[in-house]
Amino acid sequence: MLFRFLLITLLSFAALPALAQSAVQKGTAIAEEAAARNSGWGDLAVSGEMILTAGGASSTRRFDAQWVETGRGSSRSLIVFRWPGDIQGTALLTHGYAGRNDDQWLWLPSLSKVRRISSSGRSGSFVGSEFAYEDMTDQEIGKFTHTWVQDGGCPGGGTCHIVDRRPRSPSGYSLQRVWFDTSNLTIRQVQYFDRRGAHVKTLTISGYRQYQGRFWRASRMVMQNHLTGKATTLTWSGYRFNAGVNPNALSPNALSRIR
Amino acid sequence: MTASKRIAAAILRHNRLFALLLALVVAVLAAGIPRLEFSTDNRAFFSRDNPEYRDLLALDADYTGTDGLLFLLVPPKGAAFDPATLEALRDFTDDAWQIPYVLRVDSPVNLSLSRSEGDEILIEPLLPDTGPLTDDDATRFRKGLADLDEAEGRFVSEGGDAFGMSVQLVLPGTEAGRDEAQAHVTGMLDAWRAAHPGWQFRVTGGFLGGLALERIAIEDLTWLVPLAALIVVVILLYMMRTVVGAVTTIVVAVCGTVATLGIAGWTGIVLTAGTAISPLSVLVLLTASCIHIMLSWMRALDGDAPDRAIAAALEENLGAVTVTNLTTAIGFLCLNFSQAPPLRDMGNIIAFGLLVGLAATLVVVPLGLRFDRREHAARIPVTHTMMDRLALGVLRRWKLWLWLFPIGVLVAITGILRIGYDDSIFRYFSPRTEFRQSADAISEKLSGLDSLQFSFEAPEGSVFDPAFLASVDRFANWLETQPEVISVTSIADILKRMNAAMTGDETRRLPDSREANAQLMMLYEFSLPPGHDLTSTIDVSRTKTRLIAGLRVASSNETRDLAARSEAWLARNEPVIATRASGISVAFARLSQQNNRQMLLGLGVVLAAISGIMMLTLRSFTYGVISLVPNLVPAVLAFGLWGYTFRDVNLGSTVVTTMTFGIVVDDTVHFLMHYLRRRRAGLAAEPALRDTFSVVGAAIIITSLALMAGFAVMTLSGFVINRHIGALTVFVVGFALLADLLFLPALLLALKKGRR
Repeated sequence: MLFRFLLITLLSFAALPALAQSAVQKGTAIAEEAAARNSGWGDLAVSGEMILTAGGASSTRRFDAQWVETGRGSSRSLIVFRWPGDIQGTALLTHGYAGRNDDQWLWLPSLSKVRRISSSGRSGSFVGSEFAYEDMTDQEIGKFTHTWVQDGGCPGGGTCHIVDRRPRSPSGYSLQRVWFDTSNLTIRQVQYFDRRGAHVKTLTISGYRQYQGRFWRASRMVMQNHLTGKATTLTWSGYRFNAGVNPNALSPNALSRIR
Repeated sequence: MTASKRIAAAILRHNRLFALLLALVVAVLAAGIPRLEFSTDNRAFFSRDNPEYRDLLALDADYTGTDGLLFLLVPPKGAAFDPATLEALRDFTDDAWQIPYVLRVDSPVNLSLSRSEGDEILIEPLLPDTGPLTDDDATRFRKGLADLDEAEGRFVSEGGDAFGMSVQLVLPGTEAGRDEAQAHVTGMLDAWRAAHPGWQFRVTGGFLGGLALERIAIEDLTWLVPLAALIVVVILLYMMRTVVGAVTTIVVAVCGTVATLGIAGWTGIVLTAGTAISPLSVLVLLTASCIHIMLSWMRALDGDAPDRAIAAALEENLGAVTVTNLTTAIGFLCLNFSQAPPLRDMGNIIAFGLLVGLAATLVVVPLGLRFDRREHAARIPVTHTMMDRLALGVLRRWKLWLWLFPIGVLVAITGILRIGYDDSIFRYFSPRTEFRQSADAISEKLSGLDSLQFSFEAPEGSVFDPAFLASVDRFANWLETQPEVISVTSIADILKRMNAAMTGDETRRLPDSREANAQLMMLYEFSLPPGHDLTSTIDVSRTKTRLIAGLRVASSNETRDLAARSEAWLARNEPVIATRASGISVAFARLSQQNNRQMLLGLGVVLAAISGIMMLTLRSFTYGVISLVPNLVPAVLAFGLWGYTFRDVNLGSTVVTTMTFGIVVDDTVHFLMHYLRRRRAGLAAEPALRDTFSVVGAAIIITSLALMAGFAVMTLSGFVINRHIGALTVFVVGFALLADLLFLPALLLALKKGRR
């Protein structure tokens, strides 16, 4: 009896640091753990298809994407558009860095020109979809303050850590609320709140598969805009890890050789 | 015993029972009043099958809407480009992002400039996003703003002393949503005005217009309707010298107005500024019926006992009052031919109010007059002697009137030819309203608030097709040469600008391949700030593009004219892409014209129905036809006078002829019924006319004055449609009074002489 009492007391004290852990620390820990599990993949090639719907009308965009890790928190990516036909071969090259603005170049094959885009705004729409450019890029954890809100059900089943992340650099959002699956720390849902704090968009991610026994990747992302009623469904297919993407091939000078 | 005697006797015998039934009906209708709702939607003016309304819906479906807010910021004189001013402008932009349902904010501070520098294309905001601003920043901003063709009139005034900012909202389409957005904007501007005393802040926008209309509707209902009641009471007390009569009339009028509002509440008719004033019409019109009965009663008092006098008055007027209320109701019901739902609603609820009011007149007036204990009629300002003298004067110069009125009509027709239509959600507000003052200030400093929109569909299935873009560009160039046009925003401009920035080619030409166009557009798309996307210019499937022409016009005549010219130019020069001009400005601009066409049909129906009723009532084909003349002439004279004075009419004016026809015919009914009764009793034309003057002359004059005074109250409304309806009705009733007293007797004499 005494033993049980002691044990319980001891366990309570052991649990205290965990209780005392602030919501920010807990949120940051979750985000860091999710990032750690997701790093070290080397390089990756994948195809994407976006279906934009507005009212009754819809429109399709197709592209091939390549990513390569170049260091901690930094990466290079190349997106080559395939459809509609008139933007076939147009390519967007991004060099992402930890702690500073990305560099971007656009290759316009019809004009045979590479143009650097010194745009400070990453918050604009990605090819007319409901995805903002910043929604598409790697959400480097240093760019946010994370706050754990609570654990609760995931949309579509399971349990999730619900974490608020607030941008530290200029953003179109004031807050993103993220649902991390407790089982594998994949993101199941993100709610986006605009500058005035209104919930404007919801991203629902599904169809996760594990690659290389480590990395979870989704096949379906649906971004719903609650203000305009428009939506974009992004379908990923043909994930290839370690496809042998050469970081040097993802450079402005190499853009003109893209097919 | 005649039918009217039997009915009058029945009413008097069961007067209390009928009064009880009436009270019950009115009580049930009154229960509908708490259900009343006021519309805050400026599209409530359009019926669902209106072609321009359908165009609007199509624009909404294909493109991001253009409904939103337009701010005007006027910094202290000479300080427009001080760094502190620009910092305030940046803060204001941030605040604008806090407005509920905001989709995008177009501000001078988030304008971006694309330029090429070596092999880099730089797309930069004109002002740094954050941090304190320096004089250098301000100079660069001023220069950048001057370099952007699209900036002047939209973001900065021509004189460079004021800034414009537009905010795109996606409102949920409910009143609560509009209220929330408006409350925020009002609070925001109040705070800015308090913090920046030297500045001027103005805002306008279509949905604010809808909300301002709601306020006017409520103001009209709470101020103008009681004011009209007060004026009617004063006229009654002065003209009729009877307190009981005035009280009785007000009871009848209350029954009618309660019925008007009650039926709207029960049937779910949403009140707009156009319909909220309906009780005023009912009130004034019912007063006229009461005056006729009470004047008969006074005449009868001179010969009969008080009890008998009431019965005699009821018998004498039963037919006439019933017929006049019916014809008036028919006139209002014919507003159903109108294109605009508020006018249809107005016609229906007024017609219903009049029918309930008719019952109230026949039941309440006899009951009320019993409380007046007088034995003899009071001396009223319009005496028999006066009427007799008037009759003699009129009859002596009857040939003069017979010539004068047709000449008047000819002159009036030249006035009518001067009339144009002016319909705009902004100019629907009287200049004394804050909404109108803001709109005027903004259109003076920046571009006008009117615009034409053209949605072009690419025949080849892609808006990037060079031939298609060249067509659109030629049209844009033509539009720019038109005097009404201030600015043209088209996809071709964007592409020319991007092409120049990309190639360093300053000639501003369009790329010559579909791919180049599509890729340049993509580059542009990448540089847009949050909330902005291409769907304000091209639709999601990239087969249609919208061109917007900002206009500065004095009246919607110019908008309509430019729309017609543009459509004709397209059909002639670019038949492949030809499309209709659309948008809210042109929808309003065309509303009156369409409505007028429809209302001509309505007028035809009213003429046929009322002349039929007149023929039946007068039991004569000839007199039925004659009765139409003094009732058509006043409308012609009134519009002629309008053409020479106020000139432009609007949606409200188009229904006046149909609406007033049923009103002014009333006096003719009274006049002709009495005249024919005397003729059939064997009197010759002239003595019969003199008798008619002395018996119904006073009633015609007093009722006309009451109608004119009552409808004149409508001209105090902040809503210009109501002002026009009120003023035109005053004109029509005034001319109708003259026509009944001068022209009709002359016609009757001419008819008699002609037959002889």
